[in-house]
Amino acid sequence: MLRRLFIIMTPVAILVSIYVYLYQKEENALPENNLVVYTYSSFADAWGAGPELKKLFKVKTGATVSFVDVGEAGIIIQRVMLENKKTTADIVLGLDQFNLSDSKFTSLFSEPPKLEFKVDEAAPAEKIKFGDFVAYCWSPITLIHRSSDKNFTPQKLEDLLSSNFKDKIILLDPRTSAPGYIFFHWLVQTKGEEGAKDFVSKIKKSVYTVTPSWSMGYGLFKNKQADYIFSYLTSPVYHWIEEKNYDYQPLYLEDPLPYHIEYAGILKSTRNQRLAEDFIKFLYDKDAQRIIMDKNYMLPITAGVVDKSEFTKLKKVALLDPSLQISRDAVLNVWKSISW
Amino acid sequence: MVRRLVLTLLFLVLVSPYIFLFKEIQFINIDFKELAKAFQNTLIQSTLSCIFTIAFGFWAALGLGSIEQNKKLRYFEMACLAPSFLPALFFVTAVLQIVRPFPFGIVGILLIHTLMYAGLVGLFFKTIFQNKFQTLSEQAYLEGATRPQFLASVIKNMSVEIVMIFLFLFVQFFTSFSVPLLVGQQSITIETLIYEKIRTSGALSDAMFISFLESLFVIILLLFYRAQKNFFSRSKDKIHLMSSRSGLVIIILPIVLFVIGSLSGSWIGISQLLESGGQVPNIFPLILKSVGISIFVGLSLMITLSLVAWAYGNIFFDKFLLSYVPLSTVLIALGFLLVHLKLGFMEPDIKVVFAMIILFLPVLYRFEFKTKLHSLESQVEVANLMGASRNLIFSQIVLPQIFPSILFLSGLGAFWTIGDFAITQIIYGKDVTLALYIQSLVGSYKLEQANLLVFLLLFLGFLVFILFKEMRHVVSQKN
Repeated sequence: MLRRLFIIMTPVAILVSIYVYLYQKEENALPENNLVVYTYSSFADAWGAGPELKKLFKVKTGATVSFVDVGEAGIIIQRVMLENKKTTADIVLGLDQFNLSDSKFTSLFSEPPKLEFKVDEAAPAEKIKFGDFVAYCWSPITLIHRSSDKNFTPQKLEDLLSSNFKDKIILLDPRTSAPGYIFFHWLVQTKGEEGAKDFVSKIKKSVYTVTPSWSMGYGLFKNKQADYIFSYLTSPVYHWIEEKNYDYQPLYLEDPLPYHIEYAGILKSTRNQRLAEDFIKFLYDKDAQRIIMDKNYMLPITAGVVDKSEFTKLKKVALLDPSLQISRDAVLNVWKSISW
Repeated sequence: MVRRLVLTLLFLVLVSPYIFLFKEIQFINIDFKELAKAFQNTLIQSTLSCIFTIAFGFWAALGLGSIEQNKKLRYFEMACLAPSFLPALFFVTAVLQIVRPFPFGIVGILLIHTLMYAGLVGLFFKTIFQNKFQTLSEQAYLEGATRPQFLASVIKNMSVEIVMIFLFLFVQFFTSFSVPLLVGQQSITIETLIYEKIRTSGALSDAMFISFLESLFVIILLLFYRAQKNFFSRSKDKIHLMSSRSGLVIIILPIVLFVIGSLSGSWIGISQLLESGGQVPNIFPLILKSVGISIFVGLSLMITLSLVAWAYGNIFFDKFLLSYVPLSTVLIALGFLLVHLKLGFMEPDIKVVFAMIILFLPVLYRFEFKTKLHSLESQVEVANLMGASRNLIFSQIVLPQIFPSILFLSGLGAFWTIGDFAITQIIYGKDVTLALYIQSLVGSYKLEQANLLVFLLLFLGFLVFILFKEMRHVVSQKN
């Protein structure tokens, strides 16, 4: 029996050795003078902006950067707080304005460097610096649809209550999805908590389902299970560029639209303050902004980046500055008030 | 002494996430109204899921009873097990492609749970039919009893077994996270509440406290659980009056939904890949890492299960393993991040292995291992009376009989590992496995390519599972 076991285990051991070798090779390739950035999955992965930014940063400064995929914003916050001073991260990238309300978390960050760049005219200029954090991309949030569906086109938010929209809209869970939270926050901000509860009690007949993540919701929408999804205004640009499919379009509502803005910050515990500051400045470089725009499908902060790109086909919309005075509980209370 | 040490070590490994995170516990501020609501929802969905799964599982067992060819029966038995082995996300995504409009909410949870577990329960019932009613069915058949009459008396005489299956399923459904989150609409269950506490509120202490309460509830519940002998019988004899071809639909339906659902998305993925002009990324290192880590976990589970079998017989540890509900995956992974083992480049792999053991060992123990060990108790007792040592009993009596089960369960653990993107994402921090790469594709609008790669992932998982399962043929051959 032992001999047989040995015969089986030999190929297994070879396989494990190869994989260990590959892993070691990769680890050994990491230089000592390296900047570590905690970020979310779709930024760090092969399809995201991370790998291209890494190459460009190396070319421009000679230094290297490692993007660590921590998952999502909520987990990034938990991880940084748990690791505290022992963290290996120098920079955290990918938090939105609603993630930055916990002073225990934000106190772990240091003042960003002075930035000198021309702000894109469409971007919410007054929100670029937020405490010790700086914004590097953004997008309004709205309903996305397929123009070929020839549905009734809503002009304003209230139109969604019409029977024309019965079971046609996919919403996202505000507990687990950033665009989902922004939608419910938008309702509370524009209608008050009670008004928002009243609105959701009426809109529920228009809702096909509420999904826990943007990706699952968008999957159902692409699968034509519903005609509208609450997503980024920039989402259709993916289909325009990658699929040459202009059927996907954002809805330009008359209401001012809320927006999602992504921030980066330098941790006080960084062992490489100068390099971290260089990276923050680098994020506003036109080439870096173009990479973020093209890979993240989000709008840039720096002026002149969208020129000649498909993003210029997006119309300018009126923006609603999300009020941070509204408590998380008030937003989630609206969500909890829905009885399906 | 050594046995006590082994059991203590196993116990410490299983509760280690609590230990790692203990110093992070601060002010616990539970909204008991919210907790009560989540508990009520969980109770309702679990109870109803159990009732439906048992009812359809019984029907599936009648379907299995209608098959006379052994080879055919083996395929159907595999089809019974397959849906309960698949990662919930893949199964739900495939079903959503076919069932339109999908009944989200409590009905959706019931539907998915029933589709995933009815086949498994069918196998349980089939075994009970054979163990308990084989002779009786022949007598009833000869005396001219009708099928409804006979089945009514069977159900009456199976109450204990039904309660045990109910308890087994209840724990599965009560601690189910993915299915309520994906299709439950805004119905908050205990597991989704824990997730919400971590993800939205950042209340780690609250999450751990709720997780502890959940474990306590399951422990109390499973005090009444006793393992059944031979849940998986290999007898192929036909049982009269206990067969119905219509029951095969219950077994085939989940497989058909999964295959068609997954394929429908994949075709678009293939065409997109072809249109991209051959820009196929190099996924070979990802495949290697996925297979490598899953084999690593499988081998570790093999050793751990062998240790459990060797040390079997301690009532406290037995009850603990039967009822232990690990912390949520996010908490386990975060707990391991706080520990620095100084193992160099192997450290993340070692952490993943330990995390997977913590997640899978209690499930595998409840699923089949306890039943197998329980069925050997009388033989071990006789050997004990004859003065055989623990090592001798283990090597000569327990291990030869339990080894196929160890391989089967280790293979299952390896299969689940290959599809993991929760633990591995937090511990590795980059797309080093195929599952993580697929998740990234999903998050980058490339859903069709992701669908396509899911098939490759399942194929790799199946290969690893077979590698472990078939190892017994090689090991059992005489030199």
